[in-house]
Amino acid sequence: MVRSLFCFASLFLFLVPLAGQVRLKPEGRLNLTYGLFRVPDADPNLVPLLTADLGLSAVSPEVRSELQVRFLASEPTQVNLLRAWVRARLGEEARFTAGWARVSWGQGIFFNSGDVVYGSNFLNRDLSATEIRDEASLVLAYYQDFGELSFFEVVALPPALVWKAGKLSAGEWDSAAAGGRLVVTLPEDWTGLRWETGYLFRGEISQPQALVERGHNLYLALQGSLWGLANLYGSARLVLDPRDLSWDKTKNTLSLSGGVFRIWNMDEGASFSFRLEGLLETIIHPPLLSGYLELNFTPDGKGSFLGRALFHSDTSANLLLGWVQKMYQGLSAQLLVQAQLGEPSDVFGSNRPNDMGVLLVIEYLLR
Amino acid sequence: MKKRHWFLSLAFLFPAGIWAQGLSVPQILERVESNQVFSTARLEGVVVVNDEWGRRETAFRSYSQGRERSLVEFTSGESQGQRILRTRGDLYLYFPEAAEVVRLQGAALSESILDSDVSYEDIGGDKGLNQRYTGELVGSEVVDGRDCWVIRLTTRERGVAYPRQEIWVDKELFLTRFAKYYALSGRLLKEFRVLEVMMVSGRTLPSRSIIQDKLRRNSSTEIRLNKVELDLRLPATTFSLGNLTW
Repeated sequence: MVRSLFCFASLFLFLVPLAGQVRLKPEGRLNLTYGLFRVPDADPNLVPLLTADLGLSAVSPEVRSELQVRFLASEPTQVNLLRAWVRARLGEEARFTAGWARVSWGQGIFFNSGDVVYGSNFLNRDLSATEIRDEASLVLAYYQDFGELSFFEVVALPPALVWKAGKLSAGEWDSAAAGGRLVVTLPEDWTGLRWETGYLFRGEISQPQALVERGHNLYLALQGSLWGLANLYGSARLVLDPRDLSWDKTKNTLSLSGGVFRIWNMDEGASFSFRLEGLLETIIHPPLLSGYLELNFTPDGKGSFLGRALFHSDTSANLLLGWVQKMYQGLSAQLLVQAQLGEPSDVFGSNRPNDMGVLLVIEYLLR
Repeated sequence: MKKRHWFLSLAFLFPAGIWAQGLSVPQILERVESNQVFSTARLEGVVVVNDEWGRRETAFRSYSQGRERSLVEFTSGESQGQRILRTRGDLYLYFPEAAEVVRLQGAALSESILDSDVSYEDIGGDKGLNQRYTGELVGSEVVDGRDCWVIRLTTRERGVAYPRQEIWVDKELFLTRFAKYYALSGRLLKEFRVLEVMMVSGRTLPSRSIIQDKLRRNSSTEIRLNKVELDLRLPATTFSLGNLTW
């Protein structure tokens, strides 16, 4: 991994100076987490975790690049590549991106049927994470504006590079994917909707923990406002199996997700926000029906109450409640309580290791 | 094409037919807008938030064109890399860490920018405020040593962030020196005050101004302009989603 990082860093450092007027910006994030988790019929499990994200970005008028690496304190120290990409303008309306970057398609924070790249749901995701969706992949992307609020994008997702036996090589080519998307925003005086549709062909299921489907993935995503009261969004996806394109087979691959978001601002700088998302996956038998609820109450701008809940159709749930306190510029502390509710055989269940826990998170953001 | 830069324009109005020193309220407001309306502009500056947590500085760079279009990029601080695009009545945010574009609509526009005293709706508004407000000359007062007209504005339409405003317009510079923004109930929501001015291409601009959200405790936000370029050529795609996510 370290040698792979070296390769990316070399590419980064080689390409950036090609552009004039380069501005370099370092940044970092330090995260210290202490987790105390219940283990039935045993001593509690204490999990300390220290991570440091270090990044460097270079920006010029025509080229920009970013390198971000995560160091995990362990024995030995683990190093993970978060971002390593270079982007170049091709004229005023087009650009090309290459490297380890995020491809953000569809609409949805937790559930997103339009995310045919990384998957529609993350039931195994850590609810305490700052960013629920932050995956990246090796990508080549061409982006073309047409108009101010419309564009299309074509991507190729080659297999990830693998460092094995002292040699850097490409992974399995049948895990590669390629496709594109079109985003169109209609004028506000008509529907005001933002329409997004896309296609991705994937050779294999490369991320078994996420619902990333093999075959021809087609999706449609919409975003709009409910009379200015709340933000509404939704996505739908179908997968066509190249070996069986029949409707009988295809109709069982339907995935639907949708959400609503609203924020209320109150006196003294207080605010309350509400987000509710749902997901229906018919490719699983029985069909998966899940919900995600997020509440955030900020009484005075110094701290905020956070509540997140993930519900599964087997009547189990994963809950997170906590308080996030700003301590100083870029420094924050979080005290979180997490619990799973359900039968041991459910997706989330009690009476299993780590079914309940308390987390103390100290984070410092340096920019 | 005319344009107004957002933080030069936290107050506005449209005139009634009352005369002051030979000028009608509409004419005063036109002169005020001529100081704040540009064909294109590029600004660099700093947003300084002072609150119970102390002082936070965030540098920004912004571009604007006409009344409808602006792009702001924060270039330092916790929000470094975040951008705001406003065009055609739409407001989009870009969060670089998640490579995510968020479209803000409705109630979400009342959210604070950078946890400051400025909200997203303060930078919205495709119509000129003179299309949305009726103005009335109330009198004259001295503000920070400058003789000013006091003009009261009342909204003509529903759904505006500040249904009532009072602005103090410098009689010599035609600059809004001080402004108060009210809710429909008459409750004071925000105050705006110019601390220093600068001359750029024959126009008088506030180089330092301060905004206070009166619903927040012990909080104020100062905006300093370090560099101003007016009437420059901007690429046609400056205010596009492509540039937002660049």
